[in-house]
Amino acid sequence: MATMTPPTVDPTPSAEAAPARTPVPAGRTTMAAGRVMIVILVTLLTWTVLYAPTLKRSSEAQPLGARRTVSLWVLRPIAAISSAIQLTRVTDAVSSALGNDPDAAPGGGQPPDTLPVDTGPHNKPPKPPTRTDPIRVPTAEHPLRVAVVGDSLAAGLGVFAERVMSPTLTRVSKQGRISTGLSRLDYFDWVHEMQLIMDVFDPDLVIVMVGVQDNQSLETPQGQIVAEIGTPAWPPAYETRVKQFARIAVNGGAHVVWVGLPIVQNRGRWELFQRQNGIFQEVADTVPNVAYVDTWDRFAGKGGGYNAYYRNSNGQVELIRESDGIHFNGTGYDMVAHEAVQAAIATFKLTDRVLANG
Amino acid sequence: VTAPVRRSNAKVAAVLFPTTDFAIFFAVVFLGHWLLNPNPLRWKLFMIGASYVFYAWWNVHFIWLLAGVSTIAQLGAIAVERQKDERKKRWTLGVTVALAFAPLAYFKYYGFFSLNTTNAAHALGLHLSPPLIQVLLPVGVSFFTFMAVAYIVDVYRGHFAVASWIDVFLYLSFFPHLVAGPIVRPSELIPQLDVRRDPRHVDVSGSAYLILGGLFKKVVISSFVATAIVDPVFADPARHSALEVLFAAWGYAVVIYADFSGYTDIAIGIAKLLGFQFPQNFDRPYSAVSLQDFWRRWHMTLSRWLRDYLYIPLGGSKKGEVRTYINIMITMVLGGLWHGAAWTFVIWGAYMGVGQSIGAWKRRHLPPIPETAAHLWLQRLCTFNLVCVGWIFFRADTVGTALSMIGRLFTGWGTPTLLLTPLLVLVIFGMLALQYAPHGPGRMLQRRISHLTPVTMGIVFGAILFVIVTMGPQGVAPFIYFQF
Repeated sequence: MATMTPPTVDPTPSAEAAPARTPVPAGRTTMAAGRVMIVILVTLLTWTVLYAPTLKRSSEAQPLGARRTVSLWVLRPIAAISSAIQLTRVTDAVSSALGNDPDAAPGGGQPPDTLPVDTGPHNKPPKPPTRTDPIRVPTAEHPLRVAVVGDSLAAGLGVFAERVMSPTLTRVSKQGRISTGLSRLDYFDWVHEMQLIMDVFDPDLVIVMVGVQDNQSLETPQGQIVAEIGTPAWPPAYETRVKQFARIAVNGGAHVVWVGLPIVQNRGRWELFQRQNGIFQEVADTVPNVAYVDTWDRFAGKGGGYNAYYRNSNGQVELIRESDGIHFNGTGYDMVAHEAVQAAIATFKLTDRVLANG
Repeated sequence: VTAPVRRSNAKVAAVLFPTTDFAIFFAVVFLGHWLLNPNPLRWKLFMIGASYVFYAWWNVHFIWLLAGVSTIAQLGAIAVERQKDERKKRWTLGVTVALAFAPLAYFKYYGFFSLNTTNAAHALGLHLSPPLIQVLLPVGVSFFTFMAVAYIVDVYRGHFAVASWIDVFLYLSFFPHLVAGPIVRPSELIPQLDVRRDPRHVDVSGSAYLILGGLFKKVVISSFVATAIVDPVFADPARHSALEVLFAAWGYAVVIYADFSGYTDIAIGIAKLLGFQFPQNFDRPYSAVSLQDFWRRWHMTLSRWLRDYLYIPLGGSKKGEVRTYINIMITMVLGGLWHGAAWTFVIWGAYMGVGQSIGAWKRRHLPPIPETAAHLWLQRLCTFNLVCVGWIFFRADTVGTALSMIGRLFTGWGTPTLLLTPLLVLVIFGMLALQYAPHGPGRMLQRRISHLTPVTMGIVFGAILFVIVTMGPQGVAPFIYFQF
């Protein structure tokens, strides 16, 4: 059959020939496959028991459905056993010793207690200011504190918001947390997190981009369902939550630029996304110092459909979206970041010197 | 999506080796593999099925692509072998290789081609625009395409006889190498498919050492250095000091090595548990004394593929000095383009080509450098930093960002350095120092582990796995090479 011989095995094409052994260095013993199966199963079992609380938490983050139900059905008793025999304490201690917070909020990003230190004045009004209240003038000594918060879209936007703004006049805290949203406060409590960000970082400007994951029933931090997805109760309940979120920032003295959800490739998601955008816009219209930035029509193709490409003012075509049909690539995020900052300049009279090339 | 730049792809995460899904999948496949081992036909069908399930986990539609490339490879090899006339044989080879490359060309380069054609035409005042379609790149397509081409060419050269259909399908889809290599030659894998593996002697400690070591490199080292310095500095070089930019470039050398060699170690370890031997893919690349030496040590299976199936067919070094340099340039630029359809990769490939050409010129025209220890270390230092300059283009999202990085190395010395921590410096230098570490301690560890009982071994591995996962960040990014 083959004319070249592999370096390590006998190439005889016969099942009856002596079975081939992988060469093993002297002194190292091998094991029968059946015993290796035991090793694999014990490894997985040990890991599952040690990691059960985290695995359970990951499963809770999944959308409601069979996969989540089965995962939790398996993991809840294991996590309970792990907790009952005090193993969780040991694993938490190991996590802490390795520099991880075992109770850390999911989604990655920067925990509030490691946010950049405060560098500016705190003489902001304690009550919600008027809608047209201008934002303070940043200086090199007291740069503008900008927090970019939300889901994975905000994670990308944060990087490019920092890039488009002047390094000397701004401090950007990137608080995009992947796989989070405003629906499932039981998984990630954005309301609580936003308050923490306000308390610790005290931003002057908050740029929000969130909602891709919100096609789920609204739950409280304790796991109680507030409104089922698809029911008439969902939109008003979602609006209440969006308003609550925005008010935390505004009541803390920040100005908010709320970036709407962009048009996506999957038409099945259009209806809810547009409804969410309507809610974001409504909240921006009613809560003081909140501006709304549309990214739906802005990045839609001719005829209103999805288009991953964009023709810039020079007539050159650029790819602006990721292949997942939801997220932007670097070029796209750069454009969204410019839109967000320009909205702050136009609405809150922010100086255009905050732009890196301004 | 964990990163905003073009290196992110959320869907790829579905086929990550370090996932619970994969652990369960592998436990089932391991059992089936050894139970069916005595019956080659059933075993092969089972492994093809398992490999296609593995691939379909990412995107079920693309299993047809994998099956299609396998079919082209086999039909092409049969056609080439049957053709007796040398001229027709060469034509058949050309056509079948072109057919095998066609899906790769479409999925990987169509967007790049159409975008640049449209913009070039616009610049010339022409209204020429091929349809702008954003094509989803199938995972692993570059790897299995290269293996398919290797098979057809090896049959053409008479280095390898036409294998059975089932063997070719399994050779190209075998899941341990499917998504990111190593690029295994037909002669290295197909003969192994016909050998009954000995179920009494599985090298479990050697396999576990590779798998857990690979996971540690990927989940802990690569993720830590990427998050701590590489991602923030490459995202906005203007905000960072020259020292941070320098460490970001060195750090990326560590990130990509830990990421890709970590993946390769896991792939080789998994194959070893199933009784298969894969070729080595890395050999301490940052201890290289020249760029040529670097390419003998970095992604070795790609280097030899480029040499055997591109550089040598172009004439290699047999057609005169100038032609040698041209061949090196063509090989390296295409090698760069293989990594991605972007100008940054083209520049990276060209940069490596120029470096290698200068090396080749030096060997021809200058007397050899005396091999003193001082010279050797100086060469290593220079080579490593030359490689790092190339990595800047490789990692940057645009050519502008790469140039900004290089510019900051000269202009950013007055800026405060905030990202460098003792731990980060220790990890970067520690990983580079490991390039010179002896193999002895690792072998001793494997020897000691091999004497444990299965239950003890499982508890130890499970605990190590827990520590690795706990040390890593939440939501580990996909392997860098999955997108190539």
